[in-house]
Amino acid sequence: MSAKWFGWKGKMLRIDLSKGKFTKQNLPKELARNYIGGRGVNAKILYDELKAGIDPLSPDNILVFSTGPLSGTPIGHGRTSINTKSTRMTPAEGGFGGFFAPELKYAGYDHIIVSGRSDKPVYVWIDDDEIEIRDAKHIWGKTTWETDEIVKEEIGDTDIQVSYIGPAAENLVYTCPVFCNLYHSGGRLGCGTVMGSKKLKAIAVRGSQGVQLAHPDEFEKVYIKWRESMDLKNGLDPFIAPYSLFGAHSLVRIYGEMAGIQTRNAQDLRFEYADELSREKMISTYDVKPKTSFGCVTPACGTWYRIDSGPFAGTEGAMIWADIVGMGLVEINSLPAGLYIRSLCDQLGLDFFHICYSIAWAMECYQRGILTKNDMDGIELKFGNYEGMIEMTKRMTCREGFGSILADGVKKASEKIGKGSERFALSIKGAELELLPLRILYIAALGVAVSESGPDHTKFIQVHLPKLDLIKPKLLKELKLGFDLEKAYKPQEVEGKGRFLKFLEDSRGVLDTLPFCVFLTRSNYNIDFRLWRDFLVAGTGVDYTYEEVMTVGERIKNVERAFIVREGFRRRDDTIPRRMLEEPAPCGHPPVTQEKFDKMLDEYYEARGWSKRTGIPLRTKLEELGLSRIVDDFLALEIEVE
Amino acid sequence: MPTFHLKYLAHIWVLTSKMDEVIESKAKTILDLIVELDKAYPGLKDLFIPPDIGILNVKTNIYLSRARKPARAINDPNEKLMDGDIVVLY
Repeated sequence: MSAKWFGWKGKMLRIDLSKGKFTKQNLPKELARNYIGGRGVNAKILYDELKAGIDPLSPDNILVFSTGPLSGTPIGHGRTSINTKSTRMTPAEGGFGGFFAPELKYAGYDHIIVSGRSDKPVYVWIDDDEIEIRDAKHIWGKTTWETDEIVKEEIGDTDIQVSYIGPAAENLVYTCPVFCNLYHSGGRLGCGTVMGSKKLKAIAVRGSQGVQLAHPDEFEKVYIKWRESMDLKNGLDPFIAPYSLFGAHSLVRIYGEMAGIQTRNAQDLRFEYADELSREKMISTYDVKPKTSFGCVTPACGTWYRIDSGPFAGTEGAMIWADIVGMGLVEINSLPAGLYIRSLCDQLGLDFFHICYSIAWAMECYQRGILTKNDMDGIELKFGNYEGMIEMTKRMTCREGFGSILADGVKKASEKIGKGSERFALSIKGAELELLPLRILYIAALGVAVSESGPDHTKFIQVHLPKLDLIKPKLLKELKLGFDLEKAYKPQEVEGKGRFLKFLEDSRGVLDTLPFCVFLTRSNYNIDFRLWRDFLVAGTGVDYTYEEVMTVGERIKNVERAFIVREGFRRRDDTIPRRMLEEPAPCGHPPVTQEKFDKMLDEYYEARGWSKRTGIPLRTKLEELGLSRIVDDFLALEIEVE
Repeated sequence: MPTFHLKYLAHIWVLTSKMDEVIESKAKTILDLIVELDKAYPGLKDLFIPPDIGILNVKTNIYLSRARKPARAINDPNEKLMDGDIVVLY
């Protein structure tokens, strides 16, 4: 790498809240080369700087905000990557769109590392080189939207970018994300909660610098090539047309027709109200306009709505298709009610899936007579009762009565209530599931099971359903994938899933470092990432080969795995809820079954070079990836390394 | 006469201006149905079966649901229809 930085700014900002001080450090070249940025650098910093076993809510924990070398260019898409150690002892890695990362980059920083804990609420103001830790007593307890407004008003600039938490994170509701631009959120496993534990309400940033690219002309050529691949006529993706018009929300009716929306705490997969909650209905009924992220070329991925009449008049907010899936879990059949709940969660700073799965679990407990109205403080949580859900959401935020039990997540709640309720507490490694129907998409079943940072479809999702006849045989020959793509793409085929998932995860790892929005990789069928290598080389001037880039993705996954191995996670934890393994859905979809799941998991471990017995990376794999230090760490901690 | 429940998703909804409808039709196959629908919604046939290709456009999707079973993808325009079928177009 050359002495001059292209793409990267070459600077990290460390903020020690215990001391109320900050320092600026040079970004180590080796760190940038081996982990690129974003999620990659986050994973490495977290592994290196946190000792195994530390309390996530103590000052010892750190919180990292990251950009990547291409943040602030037309393809960074505003993705900010954040990571910390979650209260589930796993990484809480996540990303969000919006405009925060480009602004941070323009201020001159690749990463912010927050450590310690303030003794009073504060927020951080970054104005290029000037850093200030400010009192936040007056915004502590305010909603995310109020915080956004107050901070901007106080600084006197509505164009600054602010990341913040809501009152739920201040009250240490276990899985709160960090928010920006009102509705973008990331780090759903508790990045916001850790921020709350540090008494850090917000980070505001203004930048006036640009991003210097190594080869701008070449970068432009690659960009044009990518835009052509997104073209409606030339693009390979059959979802480009619906997606371009309606964004991800177009998937609601599509999944609904395939009986692919989990309903009544995933007891079934047929959601009768999909049409009622569809994007088509929203456009017909409410004032809807596109809301996108920095440099995004899909005009309608997120949508802003406003309700003008009825009991929820005045409600505003943003909606994506995942939210509708959450409504299936609790069987909400009223679009205005659903929109209101989503907006409420954003403003209180809650993770929508935590709310939906926790309340859906309580509703099933009520359905089965395990919990009574009295147990739930007089709220009759039965499926479809959105008024009850709204009230319980508020109580979860304030940690009031039964709400406080749900605020700790569905796993802990079920352990507390017992009486067999653990069976339908739908979580993995202590974190609630999210949107994908595991009984239909085996890749999702395996993907969420082996995820280190909790269920997260962006770590592996196939962004569309396959029509393989569009892929030219020549392309397949060139790519040498090492697995049968046709088989791997079949939703319920077991063979090939492990190898396919490894490929998907590694390539996602790379995208998360640049960063690049996974939903804008359309038209490459999730198999050809050479264009993204070209972006990286043109942007940074570092001559990565395609193999090297993909190895970065693999390295990140292994570092994330090493983090949870150190915390005691093993093969037994790489699983999915028994409901998905054993119970057929009434609509006709059979369960995955333990036997099929084990076969996929074995193949996955083999493809990864991890022990099939323990799920721990083998010594040879770690050494091959230049991670010998992890081998030493494992041995020092008496962790078996094969 | 057989009845079919037709569902128009995403961009097809823009063409039909309705989310769904139940029609009576003598159509025996998916192809018959598309030809018939083209009369009400001009351009629909060319979208699903472009004249220069003559087969189902791989960038469009047709799903068929029968007897309340989850919908399945249709790749052959000569797929037979039965009374009460739900046909999803997008």
